[in-house]
Amino acid sequence: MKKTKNTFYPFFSKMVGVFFISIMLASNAHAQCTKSGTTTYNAVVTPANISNTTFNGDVVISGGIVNFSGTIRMKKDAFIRVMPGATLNINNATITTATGCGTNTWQGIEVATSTANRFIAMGYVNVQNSTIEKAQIAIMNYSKTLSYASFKTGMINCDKATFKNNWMDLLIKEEYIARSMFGIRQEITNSTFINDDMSYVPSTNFPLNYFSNGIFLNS
Amino acid sequence: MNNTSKNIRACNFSSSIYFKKTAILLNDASANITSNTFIQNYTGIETHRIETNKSSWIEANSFLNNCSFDILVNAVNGNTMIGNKFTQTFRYQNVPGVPNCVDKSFLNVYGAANNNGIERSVTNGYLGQPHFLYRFAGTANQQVNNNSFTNPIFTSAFIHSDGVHYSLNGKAEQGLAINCNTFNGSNQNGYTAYNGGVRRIQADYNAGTILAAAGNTFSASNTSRLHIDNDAKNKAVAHTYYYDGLPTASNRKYPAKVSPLVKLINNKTNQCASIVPRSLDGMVAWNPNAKALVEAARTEVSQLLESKKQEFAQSATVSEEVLENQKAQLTVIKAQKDYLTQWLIAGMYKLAVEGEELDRTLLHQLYRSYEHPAGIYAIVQDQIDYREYEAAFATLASIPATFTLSIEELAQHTDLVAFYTLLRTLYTQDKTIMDVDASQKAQLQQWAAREAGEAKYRACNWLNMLEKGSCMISYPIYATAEEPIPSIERTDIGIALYPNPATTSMQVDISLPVDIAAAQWVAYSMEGNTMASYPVVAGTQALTIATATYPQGLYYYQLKLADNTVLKSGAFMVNKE
Repeated sequence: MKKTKNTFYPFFSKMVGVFFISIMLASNAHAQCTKSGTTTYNAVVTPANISNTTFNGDVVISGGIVNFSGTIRMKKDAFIRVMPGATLNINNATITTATGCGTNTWQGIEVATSTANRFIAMGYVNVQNSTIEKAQIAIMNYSKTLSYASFKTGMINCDKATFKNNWMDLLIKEEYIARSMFGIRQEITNSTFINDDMSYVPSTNFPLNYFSNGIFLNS
Repeated sequence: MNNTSKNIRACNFSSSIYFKKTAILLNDASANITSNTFIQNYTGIETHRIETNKSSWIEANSFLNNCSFDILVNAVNGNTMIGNKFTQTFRYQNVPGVPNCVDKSFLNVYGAANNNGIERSVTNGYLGQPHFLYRFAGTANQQVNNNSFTNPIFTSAFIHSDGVHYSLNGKAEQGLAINCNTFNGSNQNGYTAYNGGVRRIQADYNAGTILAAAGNTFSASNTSRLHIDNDAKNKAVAHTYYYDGLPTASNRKYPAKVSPLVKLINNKTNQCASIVPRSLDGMVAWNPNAKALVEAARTEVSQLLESKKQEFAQSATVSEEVLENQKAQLTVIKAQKDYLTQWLIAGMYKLAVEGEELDRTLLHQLYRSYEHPAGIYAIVQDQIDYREYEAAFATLASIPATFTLSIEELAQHTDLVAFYTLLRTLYTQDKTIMDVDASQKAQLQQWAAREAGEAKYRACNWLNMLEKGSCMISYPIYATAEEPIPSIERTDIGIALYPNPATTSMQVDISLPVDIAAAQWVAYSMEGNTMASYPVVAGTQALTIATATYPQGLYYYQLKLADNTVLKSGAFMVNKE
């Protein structure tokens, strides 16, 4: 019989309590952390190279290629969304929370599903030699809010990536199995998954049915 | 597990707090999890490292100091665990300020989780309470072969009180094979009394249970090496317990139950190595020297390639005529090398299956073949053939410092094994691929059409050597760097398929020049079956292909002449969603 005992929630409640106290003590600093607006990229012809930037709000990459390098800072609950057909390359970068965010977290990167062919028009996120930290779900291959297209999930590939103190590091839904026959694979290699600070917990609007796992392969 | 598209390899999962529940949770998706490290240095909460609810391949991972289960298999069949290392240097029990581990086992297999294979793994260290190294509950057809178990070591700081510890515990098992394992003694620190209670293998049986326990090695310090409970139901029936742990003094606790039913077998050949590893790290579970052998081979190959680099660098300055001659020679060399490589890979497969020693020469060839489907050596040869010298040199320079030899497809596709077997047969007959007979050629064609991947790729390559352009895979071929050779595919032929992907029907518009009086448009499934065939003539025409009855998937087509000369080829999808 599967184990059902769960000692996790009491611990989590305690952490949420700590979180709220920290908000009260640092409200001024956290005002700097409130997200506002959306930055949209559609760099179809020339890749957009973004380095050492603090985004005020959400980021939507609706097409083309965007390259991140340096330190990219995100506000509380902000997300980066990669739409079908778009690619986000994260090379030699650190994506973290903005200055003044304290123990608040950002949402993470989501690669929206494609309504087109299973083999094309997928969104891609490629992470190399980079760190993603303090996110609720660092990278997921579908969108929590947009409609979900079965088996047409985005593609995530990581090499020499570091995931640090994220609530969840990778959330990957099943994609079309035949993709692998054509060399389209999701590979997580030479990467490090670290948790050494329990301060960074999701905000109250985070869907708590997402357990705190490292890599979660789900249907 | 076949064709899983998710690989988690060479990653490090570490946590110094009890924060994450599970490092890798496979809820409804399988994965290859290879050569990862899982470390959790201080925790008292239930935190599994790998929890699998869908059959996965878990190879050559290292687990250190985790609480609860290192691998939890939840009522799912067909997991493969090979060459993993489980180590516990710290016992999370009765430590001030740290919650006790709720439960702990290196491997816990629950529910209807059948046909799991656990091989060549090493367990070592302290455990919590309860404390199973491997535990199966309500499962069937488990294979636990060639593992090394070292039971807990108890120090004065962590005195254990129950006095019953199992290396391997099977509850209600049916078909539990425990072969060729080593159960090491653990009498350190004088806590013999506790070890006196250790049972190396315990199995509580239902009717019909068969335990196959052959070739295991037990240390001499165990009171009970093989403990069989509740076997009364089996006494009246013809079920037989197999084991070769003779009822010595250590087993005399249960001689009356065991002895009459004992049948001694010791056939290790088919029981100790049933799983083929997929990685070099996994290979090390077979042969600890595998890595060193491959590294040495890599060095030697690099030197060989370096000499080739210099040789070809010089050739770049010679005359066109000499180049043409050299190109012809290189083509022969390439064919020979490719041919030899195929045979050697077949040999490598055999070695892996049978657990024989790795041979250095084989590893040379294996390395050449497996860094890329075509083999890095073949790539260099191709580039040199096409006079892309700079690219060739760059390829040589790109040989990575570390690498993984994947024999995944060898294990996955019997087609590929059969393909290699054919090549090996040819080789032993001192023939080349050019000597295939009609049936062998038909086999090649079948493999080439069967599916993407290495078998198709290699078979296609061979077919293209036999009949230029007969297969879908093609390469750019240039007589010189500046002057492209005309493609065998006609550029004055128009063909358009739509919609693609198709659902119930698809239109194919074809335009043939006047010099092609007649041809055929043929659609094939990935298995090589002809799905449709239509005659076409000079001029323009539109074909309507009824795809309603086609199973969802990828198909490919050829526009060809009566003598099978392919004019155009391509692929289309049928989507039923």
